[in-house]
Amino acid sequence: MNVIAGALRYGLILALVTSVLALTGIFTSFANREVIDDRLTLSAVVLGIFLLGAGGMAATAARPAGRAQTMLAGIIGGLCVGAALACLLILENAVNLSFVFPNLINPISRVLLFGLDPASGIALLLVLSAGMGAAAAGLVMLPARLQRSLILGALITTVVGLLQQQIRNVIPLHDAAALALTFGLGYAAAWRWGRSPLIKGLIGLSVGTAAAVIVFALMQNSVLPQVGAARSAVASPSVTVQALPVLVIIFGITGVVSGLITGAARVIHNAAAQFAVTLLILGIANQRNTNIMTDGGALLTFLLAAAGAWLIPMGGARADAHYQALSRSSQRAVTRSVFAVGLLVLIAAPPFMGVYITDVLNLVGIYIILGIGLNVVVGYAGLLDLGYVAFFAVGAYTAGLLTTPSLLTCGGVPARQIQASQVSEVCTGIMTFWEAWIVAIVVAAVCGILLGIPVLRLRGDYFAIVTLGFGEIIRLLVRFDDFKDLFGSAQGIANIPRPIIDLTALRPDWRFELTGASGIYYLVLAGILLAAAMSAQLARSKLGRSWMALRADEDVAQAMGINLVQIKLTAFAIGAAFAGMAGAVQGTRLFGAYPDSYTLLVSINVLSLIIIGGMGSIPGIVVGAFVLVGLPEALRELADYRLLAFGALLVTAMLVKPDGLLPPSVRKWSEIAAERFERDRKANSQ
Amino acid sequence: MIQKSQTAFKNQSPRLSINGLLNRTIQNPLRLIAIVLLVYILVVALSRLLGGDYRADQFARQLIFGLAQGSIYALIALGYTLVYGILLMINFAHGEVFMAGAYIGFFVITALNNAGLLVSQTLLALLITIFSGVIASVIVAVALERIAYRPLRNAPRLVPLITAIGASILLQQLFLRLFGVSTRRYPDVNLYAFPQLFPELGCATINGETICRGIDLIGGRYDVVVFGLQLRVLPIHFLVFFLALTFMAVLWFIVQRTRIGKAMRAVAEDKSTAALMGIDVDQVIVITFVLGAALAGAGGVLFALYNQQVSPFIGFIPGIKAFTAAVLGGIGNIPGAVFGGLFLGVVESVAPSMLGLSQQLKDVIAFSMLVLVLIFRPTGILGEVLAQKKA
Repeated sequence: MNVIAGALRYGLILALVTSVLALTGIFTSFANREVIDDRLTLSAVVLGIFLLGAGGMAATAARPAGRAQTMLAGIIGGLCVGAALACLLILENAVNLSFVFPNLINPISRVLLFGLDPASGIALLLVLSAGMGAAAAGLVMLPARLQRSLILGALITTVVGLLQQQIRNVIPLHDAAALALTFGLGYAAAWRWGRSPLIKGLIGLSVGTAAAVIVFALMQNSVLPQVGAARSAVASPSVTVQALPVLVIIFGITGVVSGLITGAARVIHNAAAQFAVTLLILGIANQRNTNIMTDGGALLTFLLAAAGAWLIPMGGARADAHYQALSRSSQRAVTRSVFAVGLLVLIAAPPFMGVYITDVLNLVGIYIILGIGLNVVVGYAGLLDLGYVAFFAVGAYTAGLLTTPSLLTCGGVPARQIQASQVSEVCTGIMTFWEAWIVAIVVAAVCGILLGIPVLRLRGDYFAIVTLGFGEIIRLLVRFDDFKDLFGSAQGIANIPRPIIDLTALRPDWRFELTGASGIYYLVLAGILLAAAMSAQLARSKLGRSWMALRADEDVAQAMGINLVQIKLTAFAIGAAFAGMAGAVQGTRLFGAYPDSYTLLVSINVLSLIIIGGMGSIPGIVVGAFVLVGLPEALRELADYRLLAFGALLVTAMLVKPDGLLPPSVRKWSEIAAERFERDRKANSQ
Repeated sequence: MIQKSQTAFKNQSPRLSINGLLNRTIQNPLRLIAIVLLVYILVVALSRLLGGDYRADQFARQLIFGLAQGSIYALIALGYTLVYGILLMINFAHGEVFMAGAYIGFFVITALNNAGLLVSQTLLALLITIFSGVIASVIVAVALERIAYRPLRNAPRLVPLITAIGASILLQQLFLRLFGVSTRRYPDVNLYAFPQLFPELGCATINGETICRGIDLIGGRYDVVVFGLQLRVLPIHFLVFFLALTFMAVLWFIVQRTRIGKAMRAVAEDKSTAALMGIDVDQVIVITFVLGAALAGAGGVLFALYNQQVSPFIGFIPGIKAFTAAVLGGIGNIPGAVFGGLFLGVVESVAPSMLGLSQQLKDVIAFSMLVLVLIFRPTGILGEVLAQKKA
């Protein structure tokens, strides 16, 4: 009896959610989006997720009661959702709901009845939901690892299906296969024979070199096409590699990494191995001019992703065991070399990714810089700043004012009052982007101090609302009509130039303009590295420890002789400086500074991403930025539901993981003290 | 705290330390600047008044509008302040609770209008509309508390804040997707009252017969001369103001004079001790959300009655303004929220034209005033008692 009640509870909750979503018209708007060609539409996926979810939750609750009960609970859970949808369908055919629910103009029945007449369609829907509920119950009863790999496999297949337009042309199949094979061989060899990190690396290197020679030989005999030759049409600078040394470098590095990670920390091992699997999946997804998610492709993707999810944690556990046995210094060496290779991959990536993905990554990167900056204010010093966007805007507008013809650079005359022909002579931007970048950082920091002075005496929520107000004030002032000559009102400042690296002094033709998405990509990458390095240094410094004391307890911190005003102002200024840096980059990325890109939503986004990621940790910020900025941006076609999903994600992420996805692994002082005590005791006893 | 350190500095012989200097320069010149700014504002306002750029009837009109707008802010601010007083948490989604009331009120009033009840039984229909708005807001708020806030009650303070922001976006978008992008328009309502008090108003000649029905409380606008001032009066503004005051008085009565109000105050004081005294803390928190949401829902319908337009976005800005108002009055303090709301509404409505600034700067003035007030009184205007306790 309890089992049925529990199952009904979960079933009804999900039935309610599904019905509300159905009333928003989600099933009709997703019906045209195909995940697998001619087989599976997005609305079917959504329906499946809810049916499986209801069955799965009900079955999990009934799991202790035995197999038959679990199966029953799953079926009941699934049926609840199905029945709710059936009721909705009947209601929809009986009453005209379009006044209240205008998005229902396209009736959902067209989609949910599978093109059948109402009676048989509803019957089929009910049978399907019972079946899905039973399937979910079966999934729940599987061993945890199998369950995990099946779910991850399905999830990755869906994501690949959704992104199929964007990720075709990343890497050709034979390239991916060659690299993955090298990776696998190097991994296996290092696993079998490698004892220390050095030997593991060397084994990997030799496997990689051998692979390069083989690939070179095959290419010479035209068995394999030239590496990368397949990707010519779409990718802007086509990547073709034929020289042996280049091949040795590429494959050698792959081999070294595959060897090293067999003895690296769990996170690094898993990330690198997952990257290799992803590369292979991208290779499969790459078939020009045809729809890539055919039945076979989907099946292959699913199998690969599931196998990866099955095998990687196993390897990770073993690699971590090796890693823990190493000395501190060699641990650090392993981690650093893997990171160095990761950086190389990042540097080499833009030509492979194409403009769209690179641009999404640029936006994510800008948010990462913002996140690192806000983390100094919120995460380190514990000051809840809801108006962080103000400094972002200050950075962009400063860069804009200095690099374009403006009131500031034209000697007090509005640029639009000067004859168009004269503009280039009378006034151009007085600075290059690089100079303006530095000025933007400084100006933002100064603004941080100026704002900080009045508000830092406030505590907690007073502080939050005042900063929020300040963020709004900046936005309203820049779009204020009377300041049109200076800030351009609602039109903003246009034509911010792209940065130019001018090395003509060294060689006449060394003049690079960072054009296009990939130019900005390197700018953003440099910004992230700089910000991350500075933030990590700050956290370890005396200032960083004072911030932590401040966050823990303001009064005690003051009693310990910490000057609260001073360190709060420093935190504020440093946070603002990072935002100014990101703002200037955003300015040149968008070719301008526009008031409507600096709304409260940006502040909310940045705050959410550092908390979702796990406050205080830089990897957490990266993950948070990818989840909250990258994912919605990549799924831009589902625009109508983007913010809805964002809100739901914030709520559920906090409910499920209140500490964030990757919380910082802070070593407690008590642990360190205990370690020291132990060491001293040993030293004394000898 | 800094206040204390300042007195400590005063007692010591003046030391030439950079930190001390920084502390003092931060405090005193700021007050100096603020005072100068206030004096400047007064001078500008007076000179504009004397110079004839700004007339008294303008002021009266804007004051009335500001009071109506401010009472809406006050109704919402009370919800923020009640929840903050008990959970020490900013219920960021409260603006959406307000919006839900206005939106569901729209469907009910439209249905009543189609049924003809709005014309034949206007007062009853309006009461039903307000009541349904209240119910809708209460349902949303209770669901919020149950789903999004209760599981996180012992989490670090930023975590419920993020859930609240998420819930706010979620509700806004859900209403947008469910009920459509387009702005909905409340029907025109005419509620005639007091034919004896205003014999000359609201008279209409129908079939050669003059019927005087009194003034139109909802849809009417009248040009009257009071104390020699030419005014255009909308009775709805007065109605909103007095209704809001009534609701707030009811709330005040509940909190101060009833058993459940006593329980609320006890929980606000100390949750665990209250629980030991046999108070069901969860229940009290739910009731707090219900009370706050009821006020917001009523406010939503009233707002929609004189603004006539509802969209899923109407909750966001009033929500932020109301939170500002709550902080302005001293958060956690019921009279403070009322005062802050009315004050903010009036300043926002009066200040731009009084100071000869553009209407675009309305929000800038509101937020600058918040900063100014907090420089003088870092705990809000009426917030001293509570701030000392919690700080």
